[in-house]
Amino acid sequence: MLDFWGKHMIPCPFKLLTGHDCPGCGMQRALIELLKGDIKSSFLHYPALIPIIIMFGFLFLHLKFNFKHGAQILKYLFILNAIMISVNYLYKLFF
Amino acid sequence: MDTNNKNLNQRGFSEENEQSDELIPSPSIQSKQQSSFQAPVTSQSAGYTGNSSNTSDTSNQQYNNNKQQSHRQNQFIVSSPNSGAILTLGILSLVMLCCCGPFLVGPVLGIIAIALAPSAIRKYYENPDIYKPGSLSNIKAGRTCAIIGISIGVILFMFWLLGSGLNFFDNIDQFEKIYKEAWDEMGY
Repeated sequence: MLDFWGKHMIPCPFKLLTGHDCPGCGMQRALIELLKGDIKSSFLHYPALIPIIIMFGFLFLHLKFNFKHGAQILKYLFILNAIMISVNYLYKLFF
Repeated sequence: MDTNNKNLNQRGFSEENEQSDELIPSPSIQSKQQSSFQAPVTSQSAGYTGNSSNTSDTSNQQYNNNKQQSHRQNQFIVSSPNSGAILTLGILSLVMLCCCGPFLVGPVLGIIAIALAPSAIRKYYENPDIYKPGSLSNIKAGRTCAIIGISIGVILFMFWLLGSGLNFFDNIDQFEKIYKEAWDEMGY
């Protein structure tokens, strides 16, 4: 199943159109590596995937159970994710 | 009853809505009906707070009670303050930057979140008693997330233009070629 997905990944329309990477390129490869259990290679493919998954899990838990400081924690997780995505994209663009 | 209400107010949930009745613009007939409706609900919640061992259950119960009250009190005002939607959209404004249609879908979702926020805050302040106290922080966090997401999207788009996007016009010819080939294959 994972091998089939690795051969038939969803193509990025931005990359098809312009020929350059978009800020999310690498996420699918990282997700496949993560599902295979290889966390290090997943981090190397796309570092922001694991914090994004944690943030979404925490978002659903927060919407369900209403933690006391859940909104603040989500905000800081969001800032961390924003920094990771932008640094990753700028690194991919210029190096 | 009074002691129970004080405890509720300390915890952040206020149950008795006599102040909010003054704030809500409703005819007097409705308010009389409300007072008759409120009595069983408050008695239920008071019975619930008697055994306050499980706080999450009581808060959920109180939220359900508040929802029922809001439905009964003001049938013309929307009961949900859109807080969860604003938080989710604000977070998706960053994450959709990485998925389908980058630099386009994410900022649009962020703009929707920012546009929903002021009305939600106004509705919360019109009658803060019937909404969850966490919803205001949810709205504000979602709004800041949307602002950060939009600004990150714009900054990354500028950097993309600076870095390699200026070659976009070279690639347009290639794209046109592919497009024409596909168009010819379809037989037009």
